[in-house]
Amino acid sequence: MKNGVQFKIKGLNQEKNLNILSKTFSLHDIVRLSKNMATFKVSLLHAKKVRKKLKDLSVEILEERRLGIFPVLARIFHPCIISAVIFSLLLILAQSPFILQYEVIGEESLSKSEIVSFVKNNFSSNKYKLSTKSVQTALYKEYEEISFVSVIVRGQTLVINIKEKLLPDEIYGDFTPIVSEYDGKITEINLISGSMAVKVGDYVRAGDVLVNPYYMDGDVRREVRANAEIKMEVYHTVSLTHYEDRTERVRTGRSVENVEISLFDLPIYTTINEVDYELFEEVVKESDLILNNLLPLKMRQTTYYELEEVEVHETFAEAQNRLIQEAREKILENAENCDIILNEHFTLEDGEGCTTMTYTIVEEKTIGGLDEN
Amino acid sequence: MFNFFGELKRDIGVKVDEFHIINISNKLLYVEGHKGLTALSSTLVAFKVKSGRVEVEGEGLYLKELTENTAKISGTIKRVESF
Repeated sequence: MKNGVQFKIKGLNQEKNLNILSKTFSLHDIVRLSKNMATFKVSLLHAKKVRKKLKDLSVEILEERRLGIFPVLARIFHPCIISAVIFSLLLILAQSPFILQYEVIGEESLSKSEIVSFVKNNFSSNKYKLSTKSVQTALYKEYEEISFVSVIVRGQTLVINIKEKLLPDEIYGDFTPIVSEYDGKITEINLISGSMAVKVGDYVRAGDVLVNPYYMDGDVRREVRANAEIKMEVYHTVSLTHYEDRTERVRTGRSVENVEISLFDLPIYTTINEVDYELFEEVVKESDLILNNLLPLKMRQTTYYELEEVEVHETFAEAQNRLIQEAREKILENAENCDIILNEHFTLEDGEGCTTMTYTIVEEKTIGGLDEN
Repeated sequence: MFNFFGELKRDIGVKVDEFHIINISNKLLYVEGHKGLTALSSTLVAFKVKSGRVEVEGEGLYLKELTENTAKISGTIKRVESF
């Protein structure tokens, strides 16, 4: 018996059980393995009933094995596998007519998403209803930047191949004017494209338009990318007031130090020294005692320096060099990329016991340039 | 399944309750009209029949087929005895 089910049973009086079964079913290949164990085969059709009968007879089924091609087929054609295959086929059948992916090749200035949304909105996603020729024509008409377009359906992907026209920058250019970033005087203009809004010798402020992104062709205004190399003198000024007689606070040399050591912001050691100075300057210094996060011990040192007031008499001539140095440093701190200094000068304004110095540095700045795109 | 004796009885009117044994080259034994299996092992297979008991001795015996009143015994048959 090639096809069927083999049972391995365990129980006493096997002969009696086999006799009962044989009254209803045809049994095959009955082999007595041991006193209480035997195997036999029945046809696939009777397997279920035999199983039930054996249960009724209180015979223990040790093993139930399907034989022949049917178990293989049953495994292959398992309901789950069959339903999965059917479901997949249905899914493929349902999906296959539709375009699921859009691929755009060759776009540079055009937006891929824009092209895809245009095609999606205007054409069916059913590839059997979609005419690639009409997509090509529509894209060509919609986007004047396109010089060549080909559309093909590959599987469930619509491939759009685009070649863009080589148009001058003026068409796509960013039409923004050149604006001055500094206060200063225009000294040189080398206009490349656009129209000048200022001329050499003009004083401009930061934010003023220097070059407009268009030119006038008769009465017609044509937009172009503003491009020019402009040199200008930029003025950096700072004012300092010098008092000939003044009171200055200077350190006497005496100081008191307090230390606080903390762990997790909780003070664990503190020294408290009284500060009995009338005038003092407080300097705080914090540092980590251990350089790891396991024990974040921190030390806070507070130093109190005693101060005293001193009457100082200093003429402007004596302080001039120091003031100039101070003013220069202040200017250069604020001026970024100060490369070319054309001139430096200062003006003085005398008051009652004081002199105000206005220090100016003239710097050359270049805006725009020939190498700019 | 084709039943040789069944066909024969139908033709000549032999009584059904009698038992018949066919031994084929001591390799296969066909028993018809048994009343139930009484012993089964690799060396002995016994059946109850109307008039007594049939014993089959041999080696590597097993029941090729067993139905209500027929049986096919396969293996090396050494002795068949009816009591």
